[in-house]
Amino acid sequence: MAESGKIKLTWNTFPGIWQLREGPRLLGLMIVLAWMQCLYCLVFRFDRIIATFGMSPFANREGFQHWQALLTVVFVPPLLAFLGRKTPPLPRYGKSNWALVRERFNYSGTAQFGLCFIVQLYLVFFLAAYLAPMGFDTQPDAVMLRLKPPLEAGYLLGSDRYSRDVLSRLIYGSRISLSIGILAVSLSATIGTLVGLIAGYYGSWIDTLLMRLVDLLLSVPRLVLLLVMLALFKAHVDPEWLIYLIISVLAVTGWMGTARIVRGEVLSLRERDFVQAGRALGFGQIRLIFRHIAPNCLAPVIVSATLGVGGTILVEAALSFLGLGVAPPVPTWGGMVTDGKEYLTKAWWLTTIPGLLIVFTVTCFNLLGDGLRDALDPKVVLHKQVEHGLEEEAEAE
Amino acid sequence: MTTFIVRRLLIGVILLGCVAVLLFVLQELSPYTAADLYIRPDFPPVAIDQITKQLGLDRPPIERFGKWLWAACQFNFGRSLHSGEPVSEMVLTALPNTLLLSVVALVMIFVFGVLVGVFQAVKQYSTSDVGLTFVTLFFYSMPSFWLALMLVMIVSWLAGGQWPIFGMHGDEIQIKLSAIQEALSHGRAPPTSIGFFEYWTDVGQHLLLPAISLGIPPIAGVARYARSSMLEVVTQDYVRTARAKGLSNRVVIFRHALRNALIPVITLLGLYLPFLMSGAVLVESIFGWPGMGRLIVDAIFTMDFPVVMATSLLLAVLVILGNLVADILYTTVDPRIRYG
Repeated sequence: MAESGKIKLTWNTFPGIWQLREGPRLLGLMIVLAWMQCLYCLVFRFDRIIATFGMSPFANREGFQHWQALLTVVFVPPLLAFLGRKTPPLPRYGKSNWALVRERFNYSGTAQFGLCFIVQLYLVFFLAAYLAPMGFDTQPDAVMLRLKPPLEAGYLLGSDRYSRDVLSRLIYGSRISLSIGILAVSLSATIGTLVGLIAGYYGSWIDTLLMRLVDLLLSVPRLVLLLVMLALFKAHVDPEWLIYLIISVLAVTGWMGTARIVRGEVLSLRERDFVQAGRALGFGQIRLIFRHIAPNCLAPVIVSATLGVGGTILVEAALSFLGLGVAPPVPTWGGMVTDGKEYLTKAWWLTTIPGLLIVFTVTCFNLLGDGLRDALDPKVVLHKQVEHGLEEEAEAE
Repeated sequence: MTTFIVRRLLIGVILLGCVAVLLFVLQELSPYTAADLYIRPDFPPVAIDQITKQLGLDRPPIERFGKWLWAACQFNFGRSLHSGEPVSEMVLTALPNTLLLSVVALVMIFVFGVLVGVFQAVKQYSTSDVGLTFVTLFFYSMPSFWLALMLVMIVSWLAGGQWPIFGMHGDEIQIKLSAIQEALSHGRAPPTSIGFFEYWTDVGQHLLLPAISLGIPPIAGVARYARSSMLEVVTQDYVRTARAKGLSNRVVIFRHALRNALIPVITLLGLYLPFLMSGAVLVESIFGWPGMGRLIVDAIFTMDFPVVMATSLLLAVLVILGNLVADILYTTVDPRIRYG
């Protein structure tokens, strides 16, 4: 490539562009779209960026959101440029495990599609304060501008019955839906992994006890358990803290699947030679469990967590739909569907658009999860690999 | 086989006991008690004491739990705090409706799921295979309540209010039904009669939309299982033998391969029941279907503790029984599997 000291400026030096030209194209699209979001904020929301410096990040929610968006605009483009830089190709042999996974991931178009748009959604989440045309509870004219259809009176996606902008509410709503999804799943995956590790490693009565607990929690439908727990405790929780109650309740009712998967993995891992060798060398139990066994059952946990985020977003939407979610006027996607329910035939956009956004987000997480499942399992021979004539290589690996 | 069923039933009963304890503990942990429904802050202490005593809330929790459990074993869940009706009667009228809805939805999930999966397996890696994966995944990612609302919107737009959406019976049938019920409760002969065909067409019309919104989203899961197990089966020797005999493709796929490919799919049956019950909670309250889901939502919002306890317990019974049925089906489909 370039001689030392001389930088040749071609399209290939730009992160994102060279991927669009040579592939993996969807990852290039991801970087370019993310840059465009940040650029949009810099150009069209410059007044808000200036105004941010007059705000205190910890005084109120608005200031916090503005500072979050500012930091995102400053730090995300360079970060993406660094991640998307062109690296020299790796040697044919001697690749690390994660390099192989990344290579396999690059073959799967659907997974890249999922990742590309999940990154966009999370950028919208962080840039909410800059991207939204108005505040989520701004009511320009509750009489004349109510229930305007999309593309009318300056509303890109229409307005609701209080003349609030649906687009802005969707952007602010992503903050609740996406953060609940990620936080609840990381909590529940942690609980599930710990329970599975303990049950699988120690066996005997601990195993029986924990697995019967899993059976017990699985025999009550999750939504019913959630509804009962939320309804019983909701009235006595400060509305500010309600989101944390919802997250913990979602986590407590969602760890059972992961625990079962991890336990199954641990049962087979614990008899393997490398664990026996560790035991013979006198390693402590904690070291054996967390340094030797846990990393080897990470793959199914990652897959089930990714798929679980989609599921959790659906459950959260259902809770908001039933009115047990985060309290209004803070918008959630599920809550917006509920609000539009009364205007089903009069104002179709109020229910259709938030619902479509939920479907899109959950689809992205499911596609990413499926792709990761194939990428993380070296036994699966990918369809693309077959197409590229790399089947033998895949088998040799 | 019998010992297996008996053992599973015993485990199920123990599990149910644990579910009951769990529900009771949750209810105890809640700062909200049944007495709060009746007590206003300006009541004199004597009245508050009286209400607490009448509801039995002055007794220790263990005693109350024992009493409740003993009554529950005799299928007596007390009376609803709101309507005063016996909870067991409310539950018994709602249960068949939920069962009807979930069985229809379950049949839809499995028939469509297996068909899609088989089709995908036969045309592996074709455009229609990839396309169907996307379409089913799209529906899989759909909240059932949103699909329900979209169906309502589309149907009311297409049929112009002619297609029944809300409830379980049309107005005419409802009037006749209540007339018959009233006559029977007074010991008189029913004034009118409802034809079998007339009744079920009416119910079927009302059932269609809730069943679709409950039965379409989970198809992707079944289809994926059916596809991969079909792909595994079609490479086996006996399938090649069948082809070598000169049997038509349809006979080979549906008579020979499908039978073995269905085995892993049947294990999903038990897994989908809790999923269906959760979905039923939402779909029933949208369509006003008088089942357990709607009962439980109404009870939770009005803090009707006896109803909440009874309905959650019964849903757990349904899930446990469903799992047992799936296990038994598993052995009948595949005689190679035996339980000791």
